[in-house]
Amino acid sequence: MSFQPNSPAARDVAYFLHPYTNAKAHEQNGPMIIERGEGVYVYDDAGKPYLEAMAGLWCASLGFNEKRLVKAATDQLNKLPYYHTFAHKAHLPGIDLAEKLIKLAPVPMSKVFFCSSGSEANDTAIKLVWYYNNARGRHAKKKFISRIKGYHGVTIASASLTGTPVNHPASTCRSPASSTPRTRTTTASAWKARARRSSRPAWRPISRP
Amino acid sequence: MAADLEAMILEEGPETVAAFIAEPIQGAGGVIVPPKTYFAKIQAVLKKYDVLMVADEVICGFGRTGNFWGSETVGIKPDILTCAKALSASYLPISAVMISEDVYQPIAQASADLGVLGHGYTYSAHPVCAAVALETLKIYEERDLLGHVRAVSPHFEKRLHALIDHPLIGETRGVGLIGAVEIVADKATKKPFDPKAGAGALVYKAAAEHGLIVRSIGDNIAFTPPLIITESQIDELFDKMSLALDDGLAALKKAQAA
Repeated sequence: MSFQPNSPAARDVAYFLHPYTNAKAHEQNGPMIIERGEGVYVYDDAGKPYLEAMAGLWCASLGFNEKRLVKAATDQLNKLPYYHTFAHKAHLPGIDLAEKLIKLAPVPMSKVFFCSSGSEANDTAIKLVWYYNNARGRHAKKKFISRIKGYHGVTIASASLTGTPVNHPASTCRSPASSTPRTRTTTASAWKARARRSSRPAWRPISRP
Repeated sequence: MAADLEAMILEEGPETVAAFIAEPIQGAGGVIVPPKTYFAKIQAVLKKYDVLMVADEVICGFGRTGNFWGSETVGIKPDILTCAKALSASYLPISAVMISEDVYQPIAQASADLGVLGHGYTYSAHPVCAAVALETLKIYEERDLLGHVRAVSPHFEKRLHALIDHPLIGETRGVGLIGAVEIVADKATKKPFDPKAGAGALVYKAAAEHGLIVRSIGDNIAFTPPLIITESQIDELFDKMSLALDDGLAALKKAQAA
């Protein structure tokens, strides 16, 4: 397909490497450009509405034009647009949110650590578990068990927890955590044997220290 | 399955196994709902070998499954819980890791011994993201979004499971406002299409033409609409999905004939 010169589609194809996208097909077909949202609907650049039955990526719980969130962001941007939380620093939104989450937790929880994405959160969980067992003097107790078809993110460590084959192409993602030969073999054969049995999660060991 | 897990822990050596991580309901793997007693049996094994339970609530958290946490729906008692996505309705990026007191104490002591917890991000608890997350949680409470999910999800589940009557559908799965259907070549044997036929992608494309965005995971089609969806919008979703399946069936038949 040829795109209108300098159109958003042409510029997208020229400059943007898209996540979870077939890059060669994208060069041919170009992007689907979403321009605005309203409730459960999003609208493309031709004005066509779509009922967004995935809430984006399983995530936009309140739909696509919740004004209260716009105001909350604007108010905070005006007050304190950025500050960090290293070295004993704190700010009220962080304190309030930590307290709120602990109160909402399904079981008694003690502390909250914040990140920016699910991948980072699971990455942090791995690191904290390793830290925890080092602190207890159990230096060998480091392996994670995750499940075939489980999805826990795409950063190197969290991807090693993810049990979908597309996230482990043989040529990539050989992290120190997931690439001991035996683990790789186990994982590959488990996928081959069980890939089609979608309703029966299986086990696999990963993340050797 | 718990026996498989125990065998694996023993094979690896319990002194080397630190944690087990699971989504309450597997999302991107194709919306896989565990059997009722699954996690109770799993956690009994984990406890026996001092293995931590990490619940990945990134998709299931904040009402998606009809309870505030997916862990409540499937009976997980996590030592560590991770969440993101609906934490801020995804208007800004933020995620959280919650840890129990038992996990926290050794970490705190080690950070004291070392002088610092050597971990953290520039954007950890970014104030604007945190403010949006707080407002999101306020909205959930004030509008009783969980009550809304519980009110509309029986209709969602009814329309979802009714898709089993379509000639292309071999299985339907779901709970609350998360669901998936599996496209098969043969309903009786549940034989899948040749992956080269791209059945899931065909249906995905047909849905878009009808003004519906879904997710195809191989030949599974997943649905997780915004939690604010109404009953009539649920009808619109599945009416459009039926049309997309009809189109997909016609295209697949045509391809087979060719």
